[in-house]
Amino acid sequence: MAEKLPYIQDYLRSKKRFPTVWCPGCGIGIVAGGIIRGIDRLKLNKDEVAIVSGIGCTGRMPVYMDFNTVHTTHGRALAFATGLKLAKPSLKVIVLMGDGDALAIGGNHFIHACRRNLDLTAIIVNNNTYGMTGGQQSPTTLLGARSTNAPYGNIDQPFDTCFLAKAAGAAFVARTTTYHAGEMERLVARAISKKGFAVLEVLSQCPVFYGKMNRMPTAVEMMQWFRDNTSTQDVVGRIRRGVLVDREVPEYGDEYRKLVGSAQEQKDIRERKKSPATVRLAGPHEAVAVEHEESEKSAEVAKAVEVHGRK
Amino acid sequence: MPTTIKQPKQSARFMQGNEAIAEGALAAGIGFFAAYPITPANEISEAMARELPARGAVFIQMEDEIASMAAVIGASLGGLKAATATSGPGFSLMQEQIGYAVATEIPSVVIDVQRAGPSTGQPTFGAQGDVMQARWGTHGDHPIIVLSPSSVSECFALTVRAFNLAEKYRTPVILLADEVVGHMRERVSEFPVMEVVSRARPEVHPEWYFPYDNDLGDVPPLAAFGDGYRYHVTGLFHDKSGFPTQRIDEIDPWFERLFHKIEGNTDDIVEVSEEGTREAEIVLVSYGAAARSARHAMKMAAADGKRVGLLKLKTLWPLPEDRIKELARSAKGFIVVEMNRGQVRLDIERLAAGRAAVEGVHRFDGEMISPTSVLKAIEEF
Amino acid sequence: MSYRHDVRLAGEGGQGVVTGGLVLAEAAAVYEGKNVVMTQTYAPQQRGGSARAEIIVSDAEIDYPKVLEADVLLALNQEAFDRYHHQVKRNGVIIVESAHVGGEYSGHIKVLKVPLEEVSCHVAGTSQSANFVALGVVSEISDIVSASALRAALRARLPQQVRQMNLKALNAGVLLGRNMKRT
Repeated sequence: MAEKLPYIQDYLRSKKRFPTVWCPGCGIGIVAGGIIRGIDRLKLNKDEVAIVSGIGCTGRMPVYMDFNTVHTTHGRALAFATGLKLAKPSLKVIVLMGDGDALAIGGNHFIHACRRNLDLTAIIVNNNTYGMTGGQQSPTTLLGARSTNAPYGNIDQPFDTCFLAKAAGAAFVARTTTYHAGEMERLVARAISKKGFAVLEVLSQCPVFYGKMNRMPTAVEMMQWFRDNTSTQDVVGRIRRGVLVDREVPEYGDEYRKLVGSAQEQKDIRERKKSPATVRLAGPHEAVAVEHEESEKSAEVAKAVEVHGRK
Repeated sequence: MPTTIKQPKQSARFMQGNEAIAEGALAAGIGFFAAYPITPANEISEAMARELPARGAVFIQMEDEIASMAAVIGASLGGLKAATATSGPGFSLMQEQIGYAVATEIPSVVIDVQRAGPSTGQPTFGAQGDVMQARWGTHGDHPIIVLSPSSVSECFALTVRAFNLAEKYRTPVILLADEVVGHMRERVSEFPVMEVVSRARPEVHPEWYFPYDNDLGDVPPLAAFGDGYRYHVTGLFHDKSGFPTQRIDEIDPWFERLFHKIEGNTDDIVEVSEEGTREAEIVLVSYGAAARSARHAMKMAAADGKRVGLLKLKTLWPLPEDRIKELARSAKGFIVVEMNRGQVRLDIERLAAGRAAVEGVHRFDGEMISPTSVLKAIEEF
Repeated sequence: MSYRHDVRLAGEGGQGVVTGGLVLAEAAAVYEGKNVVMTQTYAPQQRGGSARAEIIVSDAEIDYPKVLEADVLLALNQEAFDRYHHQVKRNGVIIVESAHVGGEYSGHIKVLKVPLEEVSCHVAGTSQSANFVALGVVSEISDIVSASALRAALRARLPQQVRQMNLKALNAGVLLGRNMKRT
C-alpha cells in the first residue's frame, strides 16, 4: 500500500488540516497549487520560506502549507511581513492576500510596500468580492456588478491592481488567472526570484457569491470567462496577463544594510574623535580673555539697567 | 579675573525621560524598532534611528501606527526583541495588533507617551487618560501588563523591565509614560546594570514542538521563524500546534493558561513603591507624573504632622490587589491622584469594597496636579 | 534645611528659552552636582508661539517638577510677564527684557528691567544671545548656579559656531549682574 504520494504532498499539512474551508468551485485551491509548484520549481528549503497572510478566504491558505506560516490581521499582512523580513533576511517571505485585504483595508500598506521595495512576494488573489463575509463588493468589483451590499449594482470605480502596483513603484508586477495554471506556476517562481517587491495578481473565481450574483453561477463559466477575456498581448477589451513590470529598483534590505555599514563607520569616527572626557573643556585662559575683553563695553551698558519694584 | 573651569561631576548626566526610555531599550537588547512620528514620543524614535543602525539592528519608520505594531510583531516572530513608541492617537490605532500579540503570545513592547485627549487633544501637554485603554483597548477578554514610570531613572529601569516581562511571559507589555515624564529632564547617575531576560527557545526535535503547549507550564518556548521549527500562527483560537480550532476542550485550557501566566505570577510582575503606608491614615495612590505631585503633597502633609503614605504603582496592570485590600483594612482611606477623571480610582473603590473611603484628585486638561490641591484633599479627608 | 529654587524662563519660540533653560539646568546638574529637574512647554511651531522652561534646583529630591512659586522669573516678552509675574515668591526677582516689556510695575517683587537684546547686540553682534545675557545676570543675583558652571555647560551644549558669541553674552550678563548687586 506504500504508494508514492505526488510531490505536492511534501508541501502540504495534508494529514492535519484537510478538508479545506473553501467552497466547491473556489479558485483559491488552484492558486495554492500554483504557489506550491512555483516554490518547488525553485527547490526552496521549506524552513527558509515564510508565508504571511491576512484575513479572508485567501488568508486561510497558509494553514495548509508546510512552511513557517502566519495568518495575521485583516489588511496588515504586508506590515507583519516587513518586520519579519527585516528581522530574518534569509527567509523568502511570501504574502498572500485577497483583493479586499490587500487593496481596501490594506491599501495603505500595499502602496507603501511597493514604494519601499523590500524583497517580498505579494500574491493577490482577486475574486472581486469579500467571500468570507458573504459576497460584498470589493475595490476590484466591476462597475454595475451586483454584490450582497450592492443589490442595485456597484457604482464604485474599481482599482486596477497592477496599475496601482506599477505606479506605486513595485519592482515586478504580473497578472495571471486560475484558468492559466501553468503560467501561474511560472509567474510565481519569477515573482519569488525577483529581488525586490514583487506583485502577482491572480484573477480567481468565487462562483458561490460573485458568480451567482452576476450570471456566472459555476466555476467553469467563470474560468471560461478568464480564458476568453484575457490575453498575454495588448488587445482592446481584454485584460492583459503576464509580466507587466520588471525593473531594477534599489532593494530596501540591501539599502538598509548599506546604511548599517555607513552608520557603523560614522560611529567609529565619532568615537575616535572623542577625547577621554565627555565634554571638551577650554583652558582657563580662554574664558578669562573673553571676560576681560568684554568687560569695558558691558560696564557702560550696565548703567542702562533700571530697577523697579522692591529695591 | 579669577575664573575656574568646572569639571563635570563624575557620572552625572542630565537627560530626558524619552532618551532614558531609548537607553533602556538598548540595554534590554532591542533588535527592531518601528514607529510613526507623533508628539510627544518622537525623541524615542529619533534616538532609535540614530543608535540602531550602528548596532546592526533595525529601525524603520512605517506608514502608520497600525503598520508599526504589525511590523514589531513580525520582527519578534523573526526572533528579535522589538518595540514601538507612540502617543494616544497612535496607541488607539495599534489596539487590534496588540490583541493579536496577546492571542498569539508574541513578545513585544509598546511605549505610549500619553498626551492630553481625547482626539488630537493637546499634543505637547501631559495627561494619563490612556490607563483604561492600555488595560482594555483591544477587543476580547485578555490579560495585559502595563508599567508606568514617574522619573527619568524609572523610564530606563521600567523599559528594561518591559522587555524582560515581554520575553519572559510571551506577551505584549505596555510602558505607559506621559508627556511630563517623557519630556522632563532630570539629573541621573549612571544607570544600573540590569538583568536582561530573553525568551525561552525550544530544544526539542521540530516534530515534537508545540508553540502553545499548555502542559509545559505557563509559558511554552517560542521558536523563531527560520530556525527549523515550521509552525502556524493565527489570531483565531488555536490548538497547541497553533492551528485554528473550534473545540472547547482545546480553547478553554489555552485561555486558562493565557490568564494564569499573568494573574498567577503577580508576585513577579507587580512592582510598587511604598512610603509611610504602614502607619498611614490616608494612603495616596498614584503613578507616573501624578505620583510626583502626590509625593510632594505627602511631604507637606507630613510636615504638618499628618499620617499620610504613598502607594506608587510602577506596575499599573495588574494592580497590587492584595496589597490594596490590606491597606483598606489598616488605613482610614485612599486618595487616588491621577491625571484623568478617575480611571484607577474605579478599581481602588472596587478593592476597598467599602472598608475604606476612597477620594480622588483628578485633572485632565493637560496641566499637572498641583501639590496644594492634593494637600487640600488630605486636609478635607 | 534643604533648599528648592524654582526658575521660570518664558518668552516666545526662537528666543532661546529652552536652550537657555537647558544650559542653566545642565550647569547646576552636571557641573555642580545639584538635583535638577527641567520641564518645558511650547507651542507646535518651532518659531513664534509661547515657550516656557521651568527648572527646579535643589539639594533634596525633587518631586513636583513644575514651578510652584518662582525665585527667578525671566520674562522675554509682555505676554510672559503678564502671565507669570504673580507666581513669584515675595523675595524673588523678575528679570524682564526692557525692549519688549513696558509699563510701570509697582508690586512688591523686585523687577530688573534689562536691555538684554541691546547688550547682546553690543557684545555678540546679534540679539539672539539675549537669553545668555539673562543667564549671566541670574548667576550673579541669585545662588542658583555659578557663572563658571554656566560657561562649562554652554561649551558642552552649544555647537562651535555659536559658542563664542554666547559666551560673550553670558560674560556680559555676569558683569551686569555684578553691577546690579552693587547698586
